[in-house]
Amino acid sequence: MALIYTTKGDIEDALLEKKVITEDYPDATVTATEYFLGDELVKRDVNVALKGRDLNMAQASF
Amino acid sequence: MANAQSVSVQFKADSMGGILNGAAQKAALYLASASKGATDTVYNTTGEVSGTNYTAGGVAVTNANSVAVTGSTAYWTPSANIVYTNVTLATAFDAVQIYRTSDSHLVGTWVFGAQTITAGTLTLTMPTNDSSNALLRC
Repeated sequence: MALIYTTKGDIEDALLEKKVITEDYPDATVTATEYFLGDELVKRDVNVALKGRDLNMAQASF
Repeated sequence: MANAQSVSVQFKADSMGGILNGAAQKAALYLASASKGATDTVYNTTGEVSGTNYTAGGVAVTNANSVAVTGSTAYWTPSANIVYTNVTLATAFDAVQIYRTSDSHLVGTWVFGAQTITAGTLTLTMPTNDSSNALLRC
């Protein structure tokens, strides 16, 4: 049984409720993983998958 | 084939490479209430997050990739994900700035929606380093 480090120290993962939230933004896709002990949030990890950016260099004419 | 008015890809590669290639960099996080953006020129602590196991200035960026060229596109991406380990950042933040540590000159600002971290890890996953997906493309 795996131990998860939380605000209350290491807790067995079977005692925690896990929620995964995914959101998409113009610059990134975000996945948040939340762990609850009862109603209390005891851990929140976030993965931000950054999206690239085109610098769009402009060139004027003579 | 006709002539085409254009900026040389070599100019783009040289411009980007002169700033990015081999440069020591760090990535700092900023509160959702901050006002970071294109007019910023250097790293500063105004609006920077604070919390358990977060050090002002952020974390080092692994920068083993040199600016590359495919066709008419010059591009670059950090060579590893940027990770803030075992942090608690209770006040909402939504931006990261990458900057060069030699002179604090900024590379750019990326915004990703307000987040908090509780006794956890924030991972900024880099896109594929190619001419279609790289973090910076020109």
